Amino acid sequence: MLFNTPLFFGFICVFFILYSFVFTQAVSRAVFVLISSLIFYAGWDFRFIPLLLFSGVVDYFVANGIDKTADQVRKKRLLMISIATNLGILAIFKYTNFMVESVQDTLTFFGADVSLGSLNIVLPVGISFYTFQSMSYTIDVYRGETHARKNFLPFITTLSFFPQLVAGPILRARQILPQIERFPTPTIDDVKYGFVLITMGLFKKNIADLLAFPAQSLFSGSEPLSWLETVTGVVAFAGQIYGDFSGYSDIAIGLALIIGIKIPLNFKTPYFAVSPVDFWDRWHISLSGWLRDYLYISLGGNRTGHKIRNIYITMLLGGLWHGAAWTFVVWGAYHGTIIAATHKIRATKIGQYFKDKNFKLVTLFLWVFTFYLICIGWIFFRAESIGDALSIIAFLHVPDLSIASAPFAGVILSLVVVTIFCIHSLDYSIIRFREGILKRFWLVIPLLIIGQTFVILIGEPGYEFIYFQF
Amino acid sequence: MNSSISNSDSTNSDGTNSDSTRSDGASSAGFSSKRAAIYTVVLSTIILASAVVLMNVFTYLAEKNAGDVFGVQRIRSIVQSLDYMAATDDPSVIMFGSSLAKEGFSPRHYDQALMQLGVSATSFNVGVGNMKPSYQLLLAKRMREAYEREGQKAGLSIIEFTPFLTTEARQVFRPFMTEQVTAVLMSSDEVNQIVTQDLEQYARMLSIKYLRNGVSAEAITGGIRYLIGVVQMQTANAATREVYSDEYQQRIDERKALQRQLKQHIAREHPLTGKSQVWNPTTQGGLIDMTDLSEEAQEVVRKLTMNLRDPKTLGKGLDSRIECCDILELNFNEQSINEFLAIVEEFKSFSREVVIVMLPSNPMITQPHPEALVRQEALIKRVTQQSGVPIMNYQQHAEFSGEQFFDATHLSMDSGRLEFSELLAQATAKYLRTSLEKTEISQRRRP
Repeated sequence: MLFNTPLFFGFICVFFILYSFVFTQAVSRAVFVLISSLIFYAGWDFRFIPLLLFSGVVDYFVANGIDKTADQVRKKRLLMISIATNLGILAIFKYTNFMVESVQDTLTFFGADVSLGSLNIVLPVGISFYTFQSMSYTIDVYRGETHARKNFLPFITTLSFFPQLVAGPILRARQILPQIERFPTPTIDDVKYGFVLITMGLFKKNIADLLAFPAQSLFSGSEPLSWLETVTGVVAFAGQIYGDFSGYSDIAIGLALIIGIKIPLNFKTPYFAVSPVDFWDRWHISLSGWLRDYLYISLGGNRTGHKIRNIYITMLLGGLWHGAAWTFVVWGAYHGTIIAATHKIRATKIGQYFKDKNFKLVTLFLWVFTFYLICIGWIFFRAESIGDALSIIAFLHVPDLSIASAPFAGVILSLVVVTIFCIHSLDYSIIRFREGILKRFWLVIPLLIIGQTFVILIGEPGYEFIYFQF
Repeated sequence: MNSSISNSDSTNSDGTNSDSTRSDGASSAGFSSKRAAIYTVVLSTIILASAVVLMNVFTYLAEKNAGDVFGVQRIRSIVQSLDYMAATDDPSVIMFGSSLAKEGFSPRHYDQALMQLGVSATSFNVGVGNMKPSYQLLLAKRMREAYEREGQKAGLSIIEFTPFLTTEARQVFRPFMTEQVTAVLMSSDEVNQIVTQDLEQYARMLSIKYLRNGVSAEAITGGIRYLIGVVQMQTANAATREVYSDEYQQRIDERKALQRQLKQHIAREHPLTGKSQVWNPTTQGGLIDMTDLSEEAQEVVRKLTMNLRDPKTLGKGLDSRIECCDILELNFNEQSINEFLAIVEEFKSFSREVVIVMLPSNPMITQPHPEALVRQEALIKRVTQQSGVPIMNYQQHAEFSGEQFFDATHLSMDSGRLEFSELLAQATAKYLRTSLEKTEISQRRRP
């Protein structure tokens, strides 16, 4: 049940009416939201509902166990049960075949003629998101940042809350659980801004689907492409993944907002970043925050003198979180490298000199160069294999000029670039001018109508949100 | 903004007594839960209803000004005209088929030729472009229902059989058209049956059928991509990257100018009936014929046909037919064949006489491989046996040379269409006479 389909529209209409006018008590609302979320999840694959509930049940009891005991060793053991359960679920359903294939490839590389086969394991949608969210609850309880809930209902409702269930944002229990426990009444501004976010999200998803076409030509096509078309393919994918994922996040946040549930923004114009570090402060903020708080800091963060090592480990595992393939591991390692390089450069005299200066030309250069670095990373993210990714990168830098471009290739590249820039400008505007938008909402309504018209007018079934596969 | 959204961290850290808390209490903005909900419903209704209206205005204007850009206007207008066809008193003749029938059959010329043979009938052209047997089967069902409603039978149904439309390649061609075409052609009951099979598709079909006037979002998107491809092909071959020579580019420019001129002539001379994308009772569903045009416009048609007959253009036409329909290899699709046989059965149920016709193929361009011809022969035999309906095969008819076509597969307006319609009248007159006899017998039997 994709957010941009008529079926979901029907679902959300029925949900909203019943939520607002029938289930008005906190308990009945929680039950209703839980059932709706499970129906939503069943729309993907009902077989995995028990897995979602299992993760929740384990963490509920573990958190209560941690809360009850003062024994630090016992607390730690209980926390380990939670982490092992959630990572075990992830390992079985997401990484088993990857591990088997990797062992197989290694054996083959060393000349062993052994066939390990592969298991027919279906990846449950949203597994990476809800396991991380569930784990964060027990870790927070362990750290004393929140207390364990005695009531199971709000906890499991929070974990399965459908707007963010299958593709995030990954929420901390302390961010959303108190809201689900009392279901706050939305303000008029919540409703208005919710509509702005939903429209923007749907608009970005549509743009992403349009950008998928030139990206597919590069990454999945069989025809040799010219340099110009290769650049177009890479930049289009940068736009596609941004539009797709930030679009999904915006819709999720908007949907929650119109029923009064406030979820933090997950993207803040990431392609306006002026360094890789800045990029990760703006891209998939809920994941980068999770990795920072629960992995990077657990590894020692900046304090132990192993900052670069910790960055590497965090980014490597962050890459692996995205998908069970070596391309994602390399993508993570690549980002670890460029983030580490950024820190190193900042520590040099040149870095220190520019630290507090505001040279516009330098900022422009850093902006373009950061975008270039991020795009190179996307090639690993999207390519079918590391070999393919390296070929594309090599071709970008040493092109075969004998391959002619298709007609209007330059125009198409310009359109792709302008489109990405425009989406970012729109995103910037709705973040920067939030108060103005809410104050003069009647001026925004025509834009929302135009946006929704575009959303209804154009689109294709079959383009799922990219992050569902993670 | 982010900070205000993320303020939820501190909104309520303790939920111990939340179970007893009513959720619809007044907010800081003085907004009750129900009022907020009503505001949301009103706002969403205004925005979405306006968007749906705007979307329909856009598609209406696009179809009005640019023709059948979404590939559904002719189908929609045919569905709306079925009762009119079924109510025709004269023995009616249905020419049912694809764009080959649409372009290659003139109902009015056919009727005149029949008249000269002493048979009076009213024929209709029910040819639609971009067809597949699955779509045609739905249309055949709607036609049967229309004739049943009117309590009439068609005098003669001529069903076009074009083997390359039943290939594997054709089965998967332009998938973005499928949902909108089926949504327009399906009855409400057929749409409702989808609910148990695929809820997502059911919701999309409802929206296409009842909110979008038969134009789906994927058809618009696919159409945009298709048009980008067409624009790219104006200056070079997008597949081979071959840049056109000056001479060929000049030919394309001339063609565009002639097409513009012809469009203007038709708009001026036939403002109401000139739109080929709309099924029009005045032209009996056929296109504007040479005889409808002024001398000046006829000259433009001849020049345009000559221009289109250039070998490179014809070659490109063949390439596109290979891509869409596997026209040289002809690897048939079992499902499509069965759907075609089902179409014949539908027509048999509401027609006194049914024949199958294979339209002429362009001998200069379309030469299937020998193995493909063997497969085609076997298929023709099978269709004849299983349908029990005679097949009139004009594929290799001596009357038709490359001069009667304007592209790789379609008969030309200035010669091929008229000749074929005349030949068809001569060949089908006997079936109509038999049909008339059957009608008389049945009328005599009535009390």
